[in-house]
Amino acid sequence: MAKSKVIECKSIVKTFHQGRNPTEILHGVDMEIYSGEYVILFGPSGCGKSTVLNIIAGLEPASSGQMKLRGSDITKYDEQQLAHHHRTKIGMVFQQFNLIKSLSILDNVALPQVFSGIRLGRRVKRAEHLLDMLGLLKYKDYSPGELSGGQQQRVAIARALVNNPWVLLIDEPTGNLDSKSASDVMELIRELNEKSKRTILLVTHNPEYVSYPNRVLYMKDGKIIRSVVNRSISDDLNLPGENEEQLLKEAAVSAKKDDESKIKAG
Amino acid sequence: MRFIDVIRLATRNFRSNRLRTFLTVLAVSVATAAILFLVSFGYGIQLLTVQQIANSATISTVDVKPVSQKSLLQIDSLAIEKIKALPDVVAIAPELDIEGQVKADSIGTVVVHAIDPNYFAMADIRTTQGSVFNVGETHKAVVSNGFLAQFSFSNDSTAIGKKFDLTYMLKEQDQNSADATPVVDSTQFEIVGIAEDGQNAVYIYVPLADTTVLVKNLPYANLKVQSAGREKVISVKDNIASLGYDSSAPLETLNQLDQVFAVVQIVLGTLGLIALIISSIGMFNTMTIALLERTKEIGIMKALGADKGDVWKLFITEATIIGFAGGLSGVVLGMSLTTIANIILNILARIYGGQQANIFYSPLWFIAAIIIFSTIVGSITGFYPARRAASLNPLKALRYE
Repeated sequence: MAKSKVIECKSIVKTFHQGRNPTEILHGVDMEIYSGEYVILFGPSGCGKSTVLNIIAGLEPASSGQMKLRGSDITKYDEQQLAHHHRTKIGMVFQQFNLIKSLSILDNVALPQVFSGIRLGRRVKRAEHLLDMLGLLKYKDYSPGELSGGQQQRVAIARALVNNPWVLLIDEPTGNLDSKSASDVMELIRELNEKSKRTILLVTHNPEYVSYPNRVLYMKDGKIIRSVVNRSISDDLNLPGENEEQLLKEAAVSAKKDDESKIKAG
Repeated sequence: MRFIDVIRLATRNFRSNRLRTFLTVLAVSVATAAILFLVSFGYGIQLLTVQQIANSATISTVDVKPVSQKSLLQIDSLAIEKIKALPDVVAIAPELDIEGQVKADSIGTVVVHAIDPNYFAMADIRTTQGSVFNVGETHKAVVSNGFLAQFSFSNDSTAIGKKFDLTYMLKEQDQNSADATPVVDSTQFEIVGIAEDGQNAVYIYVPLADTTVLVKNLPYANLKVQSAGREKVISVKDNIASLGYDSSAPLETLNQLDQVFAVVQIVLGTLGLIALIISSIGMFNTMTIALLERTKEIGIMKALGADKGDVWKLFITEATIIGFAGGLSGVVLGMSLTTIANIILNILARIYGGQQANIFYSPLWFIAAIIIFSTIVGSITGFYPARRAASLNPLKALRYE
């Protein structure tokens, strides 16, 4: 049984104009993400995966192509519609956490609701509920700087959830974390998908995580080259894509090599 | 975004940046205080001058005289009836000038101003000792310093209550005649007050009622006509002039004075305004730095769904609150300064025996205006940074460090 499409990208092209020569970063990206699915967009740094995420988030316009969120093409949105899209349809989590230092943890979590015009009382209730769920309620009056990286990232995830978005867009969530905090955060993300049935698109270059999601999209040089379904946890989703554990491992190794050669070159 | 949340978010930066907020508000506040201090000085001087020239009664009075001593139209009881009938005339106080002979320690001549008691207020005649006489009182006299000297009375409160004899020397209608008929007032006059007068002229004021018993049909030297108010003075003056009398109003002089002081206000206000311009440049600078400092925050907010308007409102509100706070504290500071200055000046005046007066005066409307003005200046300085913040690209802002 195929579930409804939440995200549908069709031949997205992105060209940057830096200096005189335009550089094409994305050469026609196609992607579909279904309701309740956990997808990792995996690829070496510089392959354009974050750009894809930003285009889905509406933070960056595509040069051409379509990006539909439940059938509505966001590339045609005006500024107000985009703000509404950021506010209610997507929840963003960043590598840098991006919490506001001058606001308390509680106010940070509640901030998206401020822009929706929700009253203080309701906001606080909702934010406290989320913080409680993530075991952070006792830190609600702390400022972000007083928390560890892992805690800050969990606060950021609570903030992304506060407006109950259709999809969570997560960009390298563990890039700034030690390995213990990183696996805690990744575990939390998996729970959000499994227990709360959240639709999640996560971008990473870390091959350790390719076993977590329902599906991994492999990206290289501005294109999605493979879509691999993790059948062991995705039987009921009936997803399109290859099904070879070996393939998955190969890709992980090759991505790692890519990274290493890049580091050497750099 | 709700208004209360705009305020909450905009003021949060004051808490996280206390020192800078304090300094910015202080700059606006000092400038506002400077404007208030300088302009209050202008107003205070103006008020003092106006008070020195005239009390509130003289502002609404008209002086009436015959066009000349030989004019056919003299001011007699018929003229008073005519003037009384004019619109907006509230009261009339005539003055009769007669030559008199006083007998106290010595004998000498004086000018006797026989007046209606209301004349004192309408002509703003004050006493340094004692008081003026009131309606119904008879044989009381307010005398000049020159009179006291001439008749060997001491020039202080001990002169009050002293008595003297008075004889009116009535001249013939023909002013050139040197002959005068003496008319003796059999009752002695009592000194009740000493008129405030720097000159040495020898004259006295006595109740008009005392003289009219003895002296009949003399034309009045002049009249004070009280109009219904400051705005009616000029029309009353013109109406009297059209009856053929020479009429003038102290208000005309005051109006000219107002114009002079308007210029003084503008000059003083401009000095203060320069201070405010300097401080608003400082404020603009603060807002621009705040923009750079918060670029990343703006990126976060936009990524979380703040729209252009929300970001714009946050910046404008912050600047407006700084302007308002600066204005308000500036008024408090300025008012404290003027009050302290007034107290010090009055203490000095008391020590050196000068007249006590408040040099600084701030009208309420001016205080309100200055707060509104600094608030507006605040929003204006926030305008450009707010517009830039609102149109920031969220991704670029997020990458800003």
